[in-house]
Amino acid sequence: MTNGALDRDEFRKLFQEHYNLICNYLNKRIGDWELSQEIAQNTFVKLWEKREEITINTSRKSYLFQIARNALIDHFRSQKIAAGHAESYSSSMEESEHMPDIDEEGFGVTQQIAEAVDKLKPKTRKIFLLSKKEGLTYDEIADYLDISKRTVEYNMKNALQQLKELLEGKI
Amino acid sequence: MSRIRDKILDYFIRSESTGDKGSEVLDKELSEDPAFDMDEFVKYEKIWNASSDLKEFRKADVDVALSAVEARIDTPQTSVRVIPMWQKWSAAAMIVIVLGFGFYRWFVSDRYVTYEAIVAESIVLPDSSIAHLGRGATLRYLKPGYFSGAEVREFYLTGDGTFEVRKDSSKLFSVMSDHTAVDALGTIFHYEARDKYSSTRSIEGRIRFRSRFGHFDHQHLTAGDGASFDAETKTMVPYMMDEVSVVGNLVVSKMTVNDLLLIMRDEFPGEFVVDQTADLRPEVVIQVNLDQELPDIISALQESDQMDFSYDEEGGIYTITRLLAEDQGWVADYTYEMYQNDVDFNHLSE
Repeated sequence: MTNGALDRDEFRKLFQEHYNLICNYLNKRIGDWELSQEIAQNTFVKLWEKREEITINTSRKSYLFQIARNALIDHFRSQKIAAGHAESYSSSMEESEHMPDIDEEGFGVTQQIAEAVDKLKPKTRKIFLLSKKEGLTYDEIADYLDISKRTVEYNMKNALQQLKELLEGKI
Repeated sequence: MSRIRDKILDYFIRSESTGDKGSEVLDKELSEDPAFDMDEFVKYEKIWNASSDLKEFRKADVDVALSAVEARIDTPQTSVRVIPMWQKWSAAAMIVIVLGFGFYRWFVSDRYVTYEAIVAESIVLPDSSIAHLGRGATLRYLKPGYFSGAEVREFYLTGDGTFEVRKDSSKLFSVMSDHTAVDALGTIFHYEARDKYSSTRSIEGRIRFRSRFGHFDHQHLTAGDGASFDAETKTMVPYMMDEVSVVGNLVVSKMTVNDLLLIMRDEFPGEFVVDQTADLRPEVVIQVNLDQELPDIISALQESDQMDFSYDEEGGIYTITRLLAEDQGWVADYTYEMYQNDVDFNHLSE
């Protein structure tokens, strides 16, 4: 992790590594994917604007998450002003001020798995995602793809083994 | 090592497949196994459990979002935009190029021949090289009169094919797909191109696997080595023969012959077909790496000391003529024949 003023290449790298993580974190809070992306983008714009303020003691990732939290609080605040829902604002505010670190919620691991899944062979990836993302049973996957259930199991085994190798030392 | 690994993998996969009952049986088996390593088990468990969160995890288009953010960061000063003369000329030139390219495509289309393999078959190419095309594959290349005058022996493949390249060091033999290409001078290699996924493996000699659009560095592959590229994720994965591949290379054990054949049917469609009604249930333990080419798998089966396995091969179609499997003193003798056209895998005698 690098500290100090952020240059454009580092900013891009940070964006590529953390944009999805922040979007998902925000989405879990507000349940609106489009809005989550908008707030996440605002977060990165703010990060760039404040790039000179990143001190040697501040991890960029922590700083980024701090901005995201503040952006979310701003969102709740503007919601309160617009709709006058003082009660919900108050509870949302309370909640956002006690936000756990994003990694603590397991999103970091899930993001790493999502990235590793992209490296699986297309067929294995498809079967794994049908099971884990779409929630299909092995029988349903076999039926859907017109393959045997044993092939589904074989590919699931393959996927788990490969993910373990790809994520070795990372999680 | 691979045995306990298989048990751990079975614990997760089978427990989801069969419910808690199967899981408990495996749980007992695992805990009593002296090779059981709790740390390793926990790693698998963490991935398995966290992957269930993929249901909630969404993926945004990061490149698009980054462009949008960078555009905001680099907000240009608002002013009346005057289009410089050079831009106007550039636009005019672009139109001419596009029209010219369209004319060129129309002009050259008559110079090519496209061969479509209805079934798996072998064809002789204009330079006497041989292409063994998989079912449904198409190969496009210059007609013989134009082919001999070209500087490169160039082909365009969709589907899969194995190429036996006639040696000609003065002319590169190049097979292209939408995103990648394989270059050779005189060798044998397999190439598969399906939509955004392409992969190759050198069977004999040296080949070069490259991206047509510079997404990865050229890969020089020798016999046994392979590589694949997924244009969707822009990921290139090399498979080197002498090292344990990160992706794949899973040894399958404790699998019935029938299950193995079913998987092979799915993994190699059009080449290896099993009749679902075939009664093949000897519980022999088979260990074979399915992440390799079909001929290698067939060879591994032949070498298995638990099976007597013989076959005939013609044009990429495998006909199993004898399969003798033994399990705990029980011997089953099967003779099977597989037909190319009606793709039946018939149980002829027991």
